Amino acid sequence: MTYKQATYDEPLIFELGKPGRRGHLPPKTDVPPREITIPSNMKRKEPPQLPEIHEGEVVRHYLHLSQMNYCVDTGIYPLGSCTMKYNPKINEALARNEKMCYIHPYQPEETVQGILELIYNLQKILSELAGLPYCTLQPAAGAAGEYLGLNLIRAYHHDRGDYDRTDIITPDSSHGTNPASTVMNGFNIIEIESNKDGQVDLEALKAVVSEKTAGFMITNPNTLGIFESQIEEIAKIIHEAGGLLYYDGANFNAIVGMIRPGEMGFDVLHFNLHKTFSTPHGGGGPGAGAVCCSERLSSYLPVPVVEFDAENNRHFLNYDIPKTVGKTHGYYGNIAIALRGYAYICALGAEGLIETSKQAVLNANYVMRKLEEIDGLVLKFNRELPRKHECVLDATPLKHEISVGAMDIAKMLISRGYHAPTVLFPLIVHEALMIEPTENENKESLDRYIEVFKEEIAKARENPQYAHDAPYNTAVGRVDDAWATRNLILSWKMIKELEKKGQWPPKWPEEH
Amino acid sequence: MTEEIVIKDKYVIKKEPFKYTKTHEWVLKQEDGTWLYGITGYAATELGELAFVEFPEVGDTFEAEESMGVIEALKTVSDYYAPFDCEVVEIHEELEDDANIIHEDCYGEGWILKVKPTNGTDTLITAEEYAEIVKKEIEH
Amino acid sequence: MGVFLSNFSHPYIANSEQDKEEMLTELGLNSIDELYSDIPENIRFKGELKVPHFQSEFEVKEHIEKLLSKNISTREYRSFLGGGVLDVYIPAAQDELLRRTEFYSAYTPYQPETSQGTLHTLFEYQSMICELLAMDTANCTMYDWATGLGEAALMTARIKKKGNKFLYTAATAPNRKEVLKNYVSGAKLELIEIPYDKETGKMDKEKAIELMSEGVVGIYFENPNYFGVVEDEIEEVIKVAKERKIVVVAGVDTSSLGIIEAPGNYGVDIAIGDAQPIGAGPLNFGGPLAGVFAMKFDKKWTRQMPGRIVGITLTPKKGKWAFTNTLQTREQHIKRFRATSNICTNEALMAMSTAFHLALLGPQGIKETGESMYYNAHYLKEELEKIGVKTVFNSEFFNTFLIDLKIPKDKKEEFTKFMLERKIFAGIPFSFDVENYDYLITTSYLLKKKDLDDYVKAIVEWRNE
Repeated sequence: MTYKQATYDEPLIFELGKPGRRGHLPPKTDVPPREITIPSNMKRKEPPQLPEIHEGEVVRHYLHLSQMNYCVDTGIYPLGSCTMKYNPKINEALARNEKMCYIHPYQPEETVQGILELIYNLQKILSELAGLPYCTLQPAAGAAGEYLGLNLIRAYHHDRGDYDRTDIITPDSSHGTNPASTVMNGFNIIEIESNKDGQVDLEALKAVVSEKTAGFMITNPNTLGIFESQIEEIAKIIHEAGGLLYYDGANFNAIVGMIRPGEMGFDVLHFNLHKTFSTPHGGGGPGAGAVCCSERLSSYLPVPVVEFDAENNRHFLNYDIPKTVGKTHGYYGNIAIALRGYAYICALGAEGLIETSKQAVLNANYVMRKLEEIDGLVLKFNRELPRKHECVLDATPLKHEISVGAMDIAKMLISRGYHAPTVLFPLIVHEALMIEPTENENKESLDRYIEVFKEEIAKARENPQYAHDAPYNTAVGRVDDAWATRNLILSWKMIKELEKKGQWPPKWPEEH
Repeated sequence: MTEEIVIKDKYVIKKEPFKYTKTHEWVLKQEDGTWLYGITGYAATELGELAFVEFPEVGDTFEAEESMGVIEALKTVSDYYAPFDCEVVEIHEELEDDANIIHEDCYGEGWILKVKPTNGTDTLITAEEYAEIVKKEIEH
Repeated sequence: MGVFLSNFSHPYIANSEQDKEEMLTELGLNSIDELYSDIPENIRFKGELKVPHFQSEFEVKEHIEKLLSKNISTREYRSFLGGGVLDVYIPAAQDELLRRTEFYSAYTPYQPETSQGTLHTLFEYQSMICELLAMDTANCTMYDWATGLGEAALMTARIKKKGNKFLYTAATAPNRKEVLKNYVSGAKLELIEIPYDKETGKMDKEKAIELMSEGVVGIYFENPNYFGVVEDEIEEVIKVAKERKIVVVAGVDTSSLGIIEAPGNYGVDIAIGDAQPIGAGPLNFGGPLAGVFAMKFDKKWTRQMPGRIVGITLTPKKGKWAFTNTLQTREQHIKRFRATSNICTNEALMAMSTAFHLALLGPQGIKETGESMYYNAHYLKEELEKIGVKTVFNSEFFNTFLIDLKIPKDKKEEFTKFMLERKIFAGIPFSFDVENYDYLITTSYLLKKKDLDDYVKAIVEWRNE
């Protein structure tokens, strides 16, 4: 396959258009115009400098940009920890239903019984998959879910009068949002080193557990794709010390319907609906988080809680949660996104969800064993241990041999029209390539990917500079991240200011 | 000129009167009793190109080994630590405009702070002792 | 519903039985279950999942449409609800662009060379927000206005380092107050409320100035505030804040910025809000939204801004610009526990959607929708006054005002039903004393004179009963 991404020299939209052109006529009220009597100091004097373009040109401009964007429907997108699975098109259609789009969060409850029922149904299903009886859809993303989950843990300890539990423990392989969410909650983060098998070192854990332990955060399988088979032991250690267990659901795609976090000993978790449950990633969001928790944490759930009044056969928003942590989102969460997740679950059903996990795991193991054979790549940590839905290969040997590392490999792959795995995460593997193919790939596409991997590394061996100068076939060549940080030009406004000072366009370093 | 230890042809460690910490910083006593402070060649090289330096404020006090601020490289961040119990006397504001002066001359123009010890300077180690630490880390 | 198939095949799963067999053979395994051999017996789920069986696409569609049919939309009933989200119309061209899978099924652009579409569009979003708010730099969104407020408060504490008090107006929306309280609960930040004047609804200037004392890191107001009142006397407060080196944070109604002055032009340091009212998306029952976060550029302070930021940069080809995520060292994936925020996935597609919307509307469209809302609101206010219903605050407003209806709390449900029978969502109830309720009315630009007249008629009827 010869790949060439579309390349337009598309300007900034501000450089398009001419005064007087219009892209859309908004509806106008038929109430007669009147003088605007807002005091002059608060009246807009200069209109905002927005583009003046007709509709066709707006569409053309963004169409061009869309063609310079790789997506799940372009090809394999094996970003570890992201679960880039197929986004079913029916979900997009359903989310555009007028009775999803045009409902206000503060409408009287009798007028939104449909969406409340949908939310309630989804909560029940997620609870079932979690093995934890309570659920809220309020977090707008996974990190928001972590933040809320830790809120619940904190509230639980404070409610018992224990204000000394200030530590949250997490493995050094954890996702960056884990320590960040921890600190946002006012906790101390203690990171423990993984053992030589890439799993939690029980001795290291015991060494840091104390009466200050509020909880332990982990994803399982972990970010290396390895299942923490000692999870029951971990749970025991933490619970005996008086702490609670938090499950980061980012890797749930490996075990859906086969293992329930509640039964592993977890007290609270979040799910990423935009990972496991197929809602689109959107180039960085919107996602949707869900938090599920045990009975003892349910008193602290954020308000409102969506509940069902069986007697009157109606769903309602319950704000009467005396010990609630309050709110962590302006309204009820990313409901229109949750709808897509619900549709996905309805389409697959219990059997489908289980099969999905199994296929995701099969695919990851297949790719892993094949890529492992490539000279220069090594499977970090005990290669005898099975991985689940993702694996982490280390390109450090290749880096030492020919100075070509994970980032260079990534650039060569995208140049061939495939997306790279996650690079340089987790931090405990130096030249990490974290690969998660998902169940959306089949044997042919995996074989192709593996073939391209081999070809590109071979080319790099022949000529390392080839790797350093990649990519070639994408809309732009390797961008200069350093220049961006050194110069910090973050808006068209800042460009205009540089123009005024005669500093735009800046000097270009010589072409190679 | 101050004598130097050079490791692997690239990591320079200046000998007396420069002193060091286990966390890859150097200090140099000044005539007025304050100490000039910065990060070593090894630390700078490992960080790579620098983006920004976050300073503490003049007057801030720290205990030995406490983080005083953060150096942002392009792909990573690193704390820098108090060499001994001290008070910040001066910050090198010029670094705010160009953090990479640290690379050009990390033991001279690339100084980060001037500090005043509040409880002695026993925690410091010599250039030779620091060189051993670097050698061990490289082998790792 | 579904029949359990022993060789389960589904459109969302790529491998066939043959693929499975071949891959297992190459791996030297007999079944996929062997890949789960490291799972202890105890924790394997052995029960029957209480999750529905799989369904065909048609059945899923029927099921969800049936559920949604129990809702009543703002296209059926006239909505006078605001409170931070606005009933807006999304042009077909915008939705068409949003349906491009290249935009929605892409990931965060960690490989910028193959993701210029997302990055370029986000840069345009940032730029348009800066134009609208008269700021230099904006991030690629927070989850919403409320969480943006929480993040802004935490940011002022990071910037100022010394000090632990954050002032905020009592005329902040209740839901935003709740989120603010939650977000600062982990930091040692004390929240202090600034009262508003009982007559005007504007911030009590004297009190604000008095409260801006030692240890205050930031001050927050909304403009227009929750009651719709335009804070046209706020500049005095801002002046003092600047003298005392207190960070000025303002929450704005983005849809008002065609009519009302941009925060960057009257001294605001950090401006927040939501892009939903300027077309990020429809109401969506309150989510997804698009938290706006913008500020003047400052080498030190901008580094403390949470969220993702796109910058422009060079490529190997002379003259060819590209866009990339910059200042990533502040974010959680690098700075971890020292990150400016834990935010990772944000509302990027909603930001792109906002760019599409603003590009289509242009400055003229923003002005016209603003004017429509203003005319509607002021006409309604006058017509209500004619029937003896006054506004609670006698100040300038944009599209929102609080009417002095004083519905007793035991009649609130009846009133709601009464208005529903007339196909009206009457507004957000608000009480000063928990005994009687006033109503906060917002007029979108989708309402017409007849809708406003019907509202007045309904109130007349209610009063006569």
